[in-house]
Amino acid sequence: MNEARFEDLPEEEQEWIDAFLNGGIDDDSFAKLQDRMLERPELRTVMRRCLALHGRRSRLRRASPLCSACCS
Amino acid sequence: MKAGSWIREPLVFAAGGSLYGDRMSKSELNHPEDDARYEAFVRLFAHHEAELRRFAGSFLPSWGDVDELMQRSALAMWRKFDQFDQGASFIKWACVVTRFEALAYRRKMARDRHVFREDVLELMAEEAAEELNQRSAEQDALESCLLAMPEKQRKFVMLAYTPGVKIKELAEEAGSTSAAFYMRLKRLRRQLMQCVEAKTLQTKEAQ
Repeated sequence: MNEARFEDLPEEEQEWIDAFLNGGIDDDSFAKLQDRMLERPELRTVMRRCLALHGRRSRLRRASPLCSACCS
Repeated sequence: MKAGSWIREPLVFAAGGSLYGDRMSKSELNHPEDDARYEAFVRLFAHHEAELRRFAGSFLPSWGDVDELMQRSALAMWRKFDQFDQGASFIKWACVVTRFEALAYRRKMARDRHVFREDVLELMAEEAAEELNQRSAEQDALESCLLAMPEKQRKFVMLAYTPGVKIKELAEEAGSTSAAFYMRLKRLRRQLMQCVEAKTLQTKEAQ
């Protein structure tokens, strides 16, 4: 595993990721996020993990016993 | 299965959906000599589809986009399958094809919402191809971390990720505000991320 962790990112980057995942990031922050992603491999690594887990949660909601047990 | 028959009887893969028969012209598949090639392709694709979806999901904003990209890349792979060296790694080849399809798909997506710029997307996809095992480990860890959560929190997270759900409506039903709802979701998501990162690190160290 790449050692980059979400909690080690600067707070500003954490906030951008949260806003992006919530679909509420503004244009200016999104441009800054992408500029930073080009510069920082750690941010890219964490972003890939966040996106993968974000998508996986949606899939679990549809398909997993985790859901039938708790979301009915 | 006869090549061509899947236009009327689309194959269904583990992650859902058909093998995209609606976009394939029948003439492309209706030659008997394509049978073996077709079957080899389907076998390889089915075997690696979940891995390929995790790959695409690590640089696209939603799983709706992943579904769309998978349709496009499956078709592209089939069309280029003649160029695939049977002794090579299918998943590596499939990642390259999918990366190029993602860039084309990006142009369509970019018209109406926030999607990564081409240079960012390309870099993300290139690096994602080196992390396939990691994605699988994180997925296992996520399920384990969700199960370890108190039921109330797990229910909240899963509800928030229900496809088509409107956060504003959920918040109103709960007598809360969207801002408070997002704040709670953010906190729980970060908690889950910490758990996943810790678990995958533990697994790696134990190996």
